[in-house]
Amino acid sequence: MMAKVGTAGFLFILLSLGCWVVLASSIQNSEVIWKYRQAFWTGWLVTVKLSAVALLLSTVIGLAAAMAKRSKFLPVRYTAIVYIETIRGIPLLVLLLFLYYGVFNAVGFDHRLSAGVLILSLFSGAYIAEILRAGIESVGHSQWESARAIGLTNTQTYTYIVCPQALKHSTPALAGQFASLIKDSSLLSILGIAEFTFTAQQVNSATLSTLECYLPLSIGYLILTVPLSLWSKKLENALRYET
Amino acid sequence: MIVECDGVTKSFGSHLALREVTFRVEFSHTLALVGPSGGGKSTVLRILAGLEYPDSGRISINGHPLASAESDLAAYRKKIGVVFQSYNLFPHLSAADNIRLPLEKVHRFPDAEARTERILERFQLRDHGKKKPAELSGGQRQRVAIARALATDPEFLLMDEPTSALDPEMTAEVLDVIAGLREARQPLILVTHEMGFARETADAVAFVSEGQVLECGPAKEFFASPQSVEAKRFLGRILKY
Repeated sequence: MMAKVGTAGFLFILLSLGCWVVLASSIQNSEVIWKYRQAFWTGWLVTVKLSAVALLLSTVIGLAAAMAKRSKFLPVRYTAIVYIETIRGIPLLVLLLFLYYGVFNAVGFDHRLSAGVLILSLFSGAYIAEILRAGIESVGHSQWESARAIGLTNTQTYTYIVCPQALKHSTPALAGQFASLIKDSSLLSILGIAEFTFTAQQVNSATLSTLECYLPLSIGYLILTVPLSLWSKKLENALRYET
Repeated sequence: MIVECDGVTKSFGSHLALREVTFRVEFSHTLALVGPSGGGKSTVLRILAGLEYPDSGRISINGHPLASAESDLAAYRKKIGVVFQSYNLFPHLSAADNIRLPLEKVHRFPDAEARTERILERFQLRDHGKKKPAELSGGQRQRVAIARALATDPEFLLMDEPTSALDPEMTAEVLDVIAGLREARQPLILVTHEMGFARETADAVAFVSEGQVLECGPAKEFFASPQSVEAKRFLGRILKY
């Protein structure tokens, strides 16, 4: 066991050293990063802001779709199913191209940032809907029955019994989905929205220094996604030991 | 208390759980529903609790017919208390919050907090009020469930095998609580496999087997001289060991 850990550690150090040597020899214009720091910072902030809005919007869409999918009224339920399955079956890149250039342009809606955030939210909302639906379904039948027996109304049952438990079960998966949303936001660069990836591409075009642009780009996303991933792991562990 | 069922039928898919159940029983505090597993005891109890709708037939309790519309049944359920076999406490709420929730949100008692404290005290649960169900023993959980059902001053209590998920020591702990309800003059209908307890505590028994109430009447008579062949066989088998 110790030998295995030792070997793995040794390989990791060797690999890190290798990467460092390659990167250090490739980064020749490190002053580019410093010179364009304001552009990187502004782009990163746009990514943070649009991700935050999309995160909120996709949660609202996801919750509505999850509830709609559980509706007893068939037209509502089937609308939710068609939305969720269609969106989940199309790559985000294709969805951006189709909705922005195909649909939004046709109806004269050409505010890039709003359109981008809306499409990203619609995309992520379909996944969040499935996560929330699974969370709601993880709340056992006995809980519903007990709520009925003590006289809670349907709305009260959702508010006090089902949602708190469903949310707890869904949080690790939601944290993962939120990290995906932040990463996926890089695709909005193809609509010409001046977010983090688009900015890095612009700097790259201007300076022709690839690694100097894309290394901070990667690190910028990691700063956002790693804490989410760690938080998700922590929650998963907390849930595992609780019951 | 008087419970009357007239031609009550209930099926789940192709399984006929109750077949034209007809009986009338009058008792002062405790009615025990006994019989072999799968015989339909729990279904009778769940219908009396307003948690299942019969497919046909009429039920009346103390002369009041049981409603058939969900909104009326919901109002009916507020007036009674139900305790389940597997406690059915809300795992994300503390013991005290489990008790307080219906007091505050359903019954809107202005003294919900004081009522919660009183009932926790009565069931010797004061030290456990802040604990989540997962931190309590099976016996304590069932005591919390009974406390939650009683806190709202229900007209009567319904219990579905309240001790069958417990070990013998905890069973005794919960049976003591249930026996205490008799002294408090709390009317009670319970499904139980504890024949000794039913004989000691119940004043009336309904024997449910193969989807029918084959016998019902005073507990003493039932245990001393069961009438139906099924009840004789059942008691003979139970009391053999």
